[in-house]
Amino acid sequence: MTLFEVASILGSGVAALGHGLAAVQAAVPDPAFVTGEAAARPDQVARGLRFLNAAYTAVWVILAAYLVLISTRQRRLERQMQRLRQRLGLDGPSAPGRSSGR
Amino acid sequence: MLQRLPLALAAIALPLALREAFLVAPSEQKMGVVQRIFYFHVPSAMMAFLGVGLCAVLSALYLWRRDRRLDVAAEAAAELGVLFCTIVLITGPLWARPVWGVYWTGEVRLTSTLILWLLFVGYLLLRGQAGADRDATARFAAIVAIVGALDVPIIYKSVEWWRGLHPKVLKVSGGGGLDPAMARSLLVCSLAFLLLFAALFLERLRLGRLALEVAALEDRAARIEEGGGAQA
Repeated sequence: MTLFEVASILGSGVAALGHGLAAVQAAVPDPAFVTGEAAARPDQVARGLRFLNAAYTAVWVILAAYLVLISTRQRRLERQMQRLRQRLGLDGPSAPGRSSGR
Repeated sequence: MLQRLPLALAAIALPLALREAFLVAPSEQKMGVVQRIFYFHVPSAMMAFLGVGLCAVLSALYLWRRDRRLDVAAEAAAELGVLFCTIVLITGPLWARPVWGVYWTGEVRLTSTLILWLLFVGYLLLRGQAGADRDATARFAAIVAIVGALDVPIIYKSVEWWRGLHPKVLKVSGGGGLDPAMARSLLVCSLAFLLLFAALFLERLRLGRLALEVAALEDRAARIEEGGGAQA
């Protein structure tokens, strides 16, 4: 198991513990948010839906933009690596994108 | 195949989280439908803290071990911290406007979260401006990350230390808290975001390793060229 995998598992474990604690803390009296149908006017509901829609759209746009950014950076690095390997005469039978020169 | 497992699990979990947020979670009595922003806003904040905390731990380990792979992992965690903090800072004001009447106030939790975002954007800019001395930049960035992460407990405890507009959702002391049905939905959404975080972290680590390999090849090419130049 590599150091990266250990770090990843440790991080996930800490976060899972945090979520468990949050769930325990959540079961308390005097809640900040109370369930029940809001007695709001239709225009208030429509306004709420507009903000809800904007917020969830923003989440997906940000996540999609990040994935595109990662993918672009990966392609650029792979091209750069291929160029360097050709320059160093390392291009052989090994798979593209893998370095044997470490 | 195993490395892509978090990505596949996240792809399954995120639609389930959406179902929880929109169909399963009960409506909130005072705020109505806009309160459902909460189910992605709070898990994003948790993942931002996880990213920043992980970055600080990995940075401390880097300062101790001086292993460049730890520095790469710290940068990956910081990037995810900034990503999820950006989501928090965008969804928060969109929730605040219909409830508080303003997009932003000088409230302590909001301000300290903005400071955290600025600190880690600065950290990433510092990494991007790295000059020839990569080790010196990595050391300096590690110190910035450790100092910056000290803002996380301040953000978490701010609603207790300074009474502001921001609700006490996860109970800190004396009151606050969440309806159990909402807490269940929050837990599902938080687990989905945790899987997303793990998937993105692994992808970003792969990118970091690739960058390390490219840097090693560049150094090798430079050494060969210098050797050739000296012989000529």
